[in-house]
Amino acid sequence: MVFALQSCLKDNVTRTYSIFEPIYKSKAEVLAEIKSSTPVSISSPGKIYMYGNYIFLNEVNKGVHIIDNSNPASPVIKAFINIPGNVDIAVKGSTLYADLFTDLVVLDITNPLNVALQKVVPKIFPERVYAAGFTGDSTKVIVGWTEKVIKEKVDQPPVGRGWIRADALLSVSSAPAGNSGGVKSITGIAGSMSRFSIVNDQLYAVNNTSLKVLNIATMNDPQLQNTVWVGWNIETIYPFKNKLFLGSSNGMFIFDISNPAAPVREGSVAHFRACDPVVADNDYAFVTLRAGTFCQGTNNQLDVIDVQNVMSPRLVKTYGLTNPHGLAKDGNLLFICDGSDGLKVYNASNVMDLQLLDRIKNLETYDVIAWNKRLLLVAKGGLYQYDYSDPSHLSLISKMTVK
Amino acid sequence: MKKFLLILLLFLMIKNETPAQEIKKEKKFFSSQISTGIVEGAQGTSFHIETINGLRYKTWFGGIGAGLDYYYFRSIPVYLSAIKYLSTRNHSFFIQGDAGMNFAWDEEGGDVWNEVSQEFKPGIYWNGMFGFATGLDRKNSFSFGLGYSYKSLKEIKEMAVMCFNPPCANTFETYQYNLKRLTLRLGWQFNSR
Repeated sequence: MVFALQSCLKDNVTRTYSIFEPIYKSKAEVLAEIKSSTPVSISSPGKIYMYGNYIFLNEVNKGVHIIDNSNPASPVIKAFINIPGNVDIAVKGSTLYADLFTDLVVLDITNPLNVALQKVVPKIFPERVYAAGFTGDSTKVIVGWTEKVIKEKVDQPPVGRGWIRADALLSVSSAPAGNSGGVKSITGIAGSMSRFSIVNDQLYAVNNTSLKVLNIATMNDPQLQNTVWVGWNIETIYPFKNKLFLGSSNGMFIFDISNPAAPVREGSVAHFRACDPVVADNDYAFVTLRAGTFCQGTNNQLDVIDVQNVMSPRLVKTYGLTNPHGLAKDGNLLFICDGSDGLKVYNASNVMDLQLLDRIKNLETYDVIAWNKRLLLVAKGGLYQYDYSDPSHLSLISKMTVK
Repeated sequence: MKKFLLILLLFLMIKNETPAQEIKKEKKFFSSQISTGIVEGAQGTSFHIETINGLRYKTWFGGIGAGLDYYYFRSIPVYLSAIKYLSTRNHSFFIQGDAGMNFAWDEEGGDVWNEVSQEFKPGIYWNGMFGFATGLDRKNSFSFGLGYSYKSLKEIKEMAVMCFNPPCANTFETYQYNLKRLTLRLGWQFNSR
């Protein structure tokens, strides 16, 4: 009778969540598949690179779409390069650099429809591990994930499962990272949320803690020159003239690259914990801070930082935003991807009083490249191209949807 | 002994005549009840309060109820209620059954360092009770009851996960709460007859 009563009063609480178990292939198999393959639909757009008439769009953790943009009104996906674990790309001349987990792969893209693997530089990014306790089989390459749904009983009021798991991931990052406008060079255009940056004969790459310097004077034979400790939770890199602006979850760092092989830290600006991409011009750096996710902060804003004295940058103005991601700057125009609040276009001629010129609503925007009156926008729905000849009225040129 | 039983039978018949006469005169009338009490389950004892409003006809009552229930999570059950009185007298036992939805009254999260957001989805609520109502007069009565109730809720939590290349996709956990309790209620009832 007592047991029956206890059973009737026993609460039933269950917790359901997904884990992702790795699918492996051998390194040899993976390297053999790095070539121009049949085009696939865009599903998780990531970093974007503009080079000549081509757009190279990262498919997060999977590879690179090669998009023929010779007619911006009708871009066509021409090929897909399978690169498991790829999240960053950079282009110089006819060479594309991409990360494949801990390695750097070098591809000849003279003919984008017939890309050829030139070199693999191993362990350039040895710090690249899946966090949260997961450790992969280092003798193989993870090429995908199998989702497994776990349902378990919870006896006490749940206070969180935690995120430590050695055998699987708790989430597979498919959130677009994104890019936004930068200095055009022979190296193409990357963005504010990129981790790679090419300046002349150097490829600079940041990971969580440090800045790697690779000499790419011989484009298909990069050589690691230097590793510079920066700090913790380094996220983005943005070049401007002889400076590198590094964004982290706790602040922005400015490095001088007058000696390209030996970046020297000159100044920094701390901020509340947030994720922050950055762009800069001669006088100011523009940093968006985003709350939520692992960034854990509570601030959603744009910080304008006076960098005229790079040894002592100072915050001059803060603007409240909704949930900003990447940003771009072209002259006095500032483009900000403000998450679900769309794309915002500002007149930044007076940084103390930004004027909103136009806004594209109903888009969850991640990142943007602005160059020569043409805007490439990565959003949840796909890849959009706009003409900003009239910055008060952006006009849509084309849209490539995400499947 | 036989005489005693015959007299008792006659007495009961006369007494029952009164309810029958009352039934002939009885019309539908509005009835409102407010009650409070405790619920007791595996997580301990909690407070609840509720109100039920509807129509009474003869020995039946049907109405709509809503309450505030603090067991496990603060929630607002909203339900249809049916009560069967075993008599039309002012003093009567009753059986009550309630069924409807249970809505969370959102509480602040923050128990977990990496929790980004939480969202509750409505669940089910039902209650079965046996009690006794005793009237002060024709319009007002007190009631108390003992019963068993169930409420459910679903909670979806979004959790941040550290990864190599932040910002990163978050993970989601879904909690399904199916909660069973004993209930004890004290109530005041107003009738418009």
